[in-house]
Amino acid sequence: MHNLGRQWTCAAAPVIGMLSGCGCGRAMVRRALWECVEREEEKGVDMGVRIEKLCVSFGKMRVLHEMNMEIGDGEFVSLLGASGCGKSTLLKSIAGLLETESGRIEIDGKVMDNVAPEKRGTVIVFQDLRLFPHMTAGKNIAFPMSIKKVPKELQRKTVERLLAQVQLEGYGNRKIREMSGGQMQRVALARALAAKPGLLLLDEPFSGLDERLRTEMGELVRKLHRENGLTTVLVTHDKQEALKFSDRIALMSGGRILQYDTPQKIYRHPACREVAEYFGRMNYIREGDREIGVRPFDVRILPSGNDCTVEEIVFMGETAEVRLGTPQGAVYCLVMSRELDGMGIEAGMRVGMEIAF
Amino acid sequence: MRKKRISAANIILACFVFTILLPVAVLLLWTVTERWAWPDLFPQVLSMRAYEGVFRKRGMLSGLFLSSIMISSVVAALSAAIGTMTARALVLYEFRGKGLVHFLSVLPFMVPATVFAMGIQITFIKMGLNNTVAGVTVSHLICSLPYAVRLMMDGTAAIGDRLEEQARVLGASAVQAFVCVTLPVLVPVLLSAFSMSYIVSFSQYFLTLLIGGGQVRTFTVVMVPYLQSGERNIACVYSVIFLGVTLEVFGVFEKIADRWSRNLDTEFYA
Amino acid sequence: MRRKLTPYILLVPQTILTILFLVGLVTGITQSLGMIPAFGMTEPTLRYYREVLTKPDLLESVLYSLKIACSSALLSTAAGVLLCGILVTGRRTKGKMMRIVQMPIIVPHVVAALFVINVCSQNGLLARVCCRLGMIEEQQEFPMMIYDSHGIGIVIAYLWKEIPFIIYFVIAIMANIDGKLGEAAVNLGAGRLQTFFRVTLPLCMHTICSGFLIIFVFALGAYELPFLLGATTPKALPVQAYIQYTHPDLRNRPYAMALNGMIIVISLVSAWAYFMLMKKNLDRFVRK
Repeated sequence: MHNLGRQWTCAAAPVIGMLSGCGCGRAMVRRALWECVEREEEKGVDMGVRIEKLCVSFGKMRVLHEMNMEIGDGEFVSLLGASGCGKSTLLKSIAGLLETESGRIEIDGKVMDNVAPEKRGTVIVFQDLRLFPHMTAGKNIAFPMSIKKVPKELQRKTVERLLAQVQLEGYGNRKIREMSGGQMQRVALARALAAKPGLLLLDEPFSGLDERLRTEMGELVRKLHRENGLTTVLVTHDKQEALKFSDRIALMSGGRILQYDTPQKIYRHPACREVAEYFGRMNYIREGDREIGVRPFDVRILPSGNDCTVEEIVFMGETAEVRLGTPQGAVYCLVMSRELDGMGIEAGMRVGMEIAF
Repeated sequence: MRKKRISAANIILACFVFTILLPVAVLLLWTVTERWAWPDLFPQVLSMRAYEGVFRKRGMLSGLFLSSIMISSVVAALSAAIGTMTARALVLYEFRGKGLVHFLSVLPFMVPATVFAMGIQITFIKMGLNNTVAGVTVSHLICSLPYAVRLMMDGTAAIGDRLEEQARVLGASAVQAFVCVTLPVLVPVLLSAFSMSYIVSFSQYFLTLLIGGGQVRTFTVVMVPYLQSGERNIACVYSVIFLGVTLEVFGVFEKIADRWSRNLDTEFYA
Repeated sequence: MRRKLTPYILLVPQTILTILFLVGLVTGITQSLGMIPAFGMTEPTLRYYREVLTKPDLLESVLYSLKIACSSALLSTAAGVLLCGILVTGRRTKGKMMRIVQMPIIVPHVVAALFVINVCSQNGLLARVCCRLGMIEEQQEFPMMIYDSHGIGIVIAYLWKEIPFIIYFVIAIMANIDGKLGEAAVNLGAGRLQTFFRVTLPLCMHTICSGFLIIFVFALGAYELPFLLGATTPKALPVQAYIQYTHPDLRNRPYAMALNGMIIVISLVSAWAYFMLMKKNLDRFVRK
């Protein structure tokens, strides 16, 4: 018992975030975070996207609540959140496909009210890709250029270049229905690039793909982002994807942004429980009137102690999750499975634990 | 057990197809019949006299062709175009009075043409549309439009505005998006809307008779007196000619559409 | 702002035509109430409706037409759905078979009447076949199927035209449902036939009912077939109405319009029902 107590006091300072339990406190934390983000951005930003107090409703249902957000030029930003949280609505509002109720969207310093979608320079790659079924892959990619009446020869060259960029050389004459999911994805990306987007908006474009292709496409997007100097917004519900590719992540829920920060900060210093839990299971440990959130990976098992009981061990490949029964309830602990084997721990044993950081 | 049921189904289908085709065969037979006395199953004397009789009045036949097919084609084209517009408004937009417009657009489906014809005649007389091709065209259009609207609504709902949204963010204006993306994809639906409207217009008898006042002669208006006067083989010849032409016209439509969409596929990136 | 105006602009031609249609309808209805200012008749009255429903020959027309419309619609819907089921479960919804099935749709009713005369009259092919088989000896022994007082020929002509119409109307959605949900149902252990009756058919019911209504109203109000194939008495509603309409005594016109009024009432009710069915269908479509 003594051991446990000491670990907690130590943990209180730097661990993952300190939250007071009541709602108003949480809101204050959030507001403070925004302010700090905004101050940071105001210095250098004259390009990119700036969203102020944006509200969007479908009929009587409000989907976005006074949303504020800024995206710097050349940034890769992920909008992360469960389905129905308003990510796609935000994307469509930026692109001008939805009527906004109030608020302001600025792109490159220009206010976008009443600017037609085709004049915004914002290109969406939709989840369902929306390739034009009556055109070949090449014609799909050439579409934005043919709209702008780019000379045919230049169109042809650009299509070839873009096909090469997405690793689809020689597929120009393929019909859409003859292509696989991954190939269609690449065509959709190439077509978006052909429109020379000032802002590339990706609306969960990889959600239909299997794990391996997903990673591959994600890396391709990241590469295209760098090579073409794009500003990119990726909508996703996959936290790994967001953490891996983004410069900043905006975590959304219920039409609001809960936190908007770099991957490291949003993971290590979540603004509230909801943000913390989005990135994985949390242990909450009460201390006085404060609550400390500890990620399972930061809980270490001490084979020598006997403060708690091993209730369950779930093998998950390279890691394993251990549920420890403590006097204050269950604490989850994530350990490397090899390490666990070395300790020789089994369900029912008495062990100690400490919180690492 | 399974085999047996399928063969029963096949028998029913075969009977059905036979029932559809039998009258057509009899019709063809009648066109070349000179004498077919009771109780023989086949005509005793065959001749081409009915065909010759019809083709001798070549002027009348070509006039009939022109007015009949022209009216129906114009009606079908207008109907497909207006149907597309109405369907777009009803499927893709929210506006006040949508339910009412929707209801009114399907109403002519449900109110017989006879009732409408007798009611509207007096208005058409006042407007100077009675006994004119324009009047007949307008009245046919009213009757065929619900079919086109229904078909186009299904088609538009199936496509939605997904592709148009995509075209817009890729830089196309609203009109460009519609013309370059939605229209080509809608071609098959447009075609069936056109065909359906064509048939509805082509089949109208009462409406043409009343509004056209006997001045506007279409296929059905010419057919009926032959039928009544017992000149059955002349009526049969007319039927064969016009059904043949209709089938041919539809075949051509299909080919044109086919070629067109194929062109769309390969036109540029060769 | 422009986007809000767009639907109204799109609806301009439709609205013009709808107004014309409504003018025709409203004219008919006011005339049926005895209001024809041109003839100096201005007082609205229900007299003509009362007379239509009490004069034996007029009432007979109403009942006769209802009978024909009901039997044509019921029989063609039932047969059409049955055949549609066979086509769908047998996976024959495309190709030559469908082309043949769709052929009667392009044939005008006038020609369908000619077909029935050719095949079903006392001088027709059917009578001759019966004679060959020794079932009858004289033409007159063959039952009157056209120009008869039951309208058998009319119903036959409607069936020939409308069974394919029902198939055309229903087959797309039925094939769709059967393809998608049929697999699931079979997977859950239902037989092919069971699947059809328990899953596919109930889900197509909206469409089937709308098809039924279309045929019913059409058969109630169409002029051609009863005119060409019907008996002298009783006369079908539209035929009777047209006779009154063209009556030399112009004061007979309200009778025509009252007869039409009967059709209008029935068709408006049907139209409402049809509209509700269609809307439900569309909603389901859109939500999907």
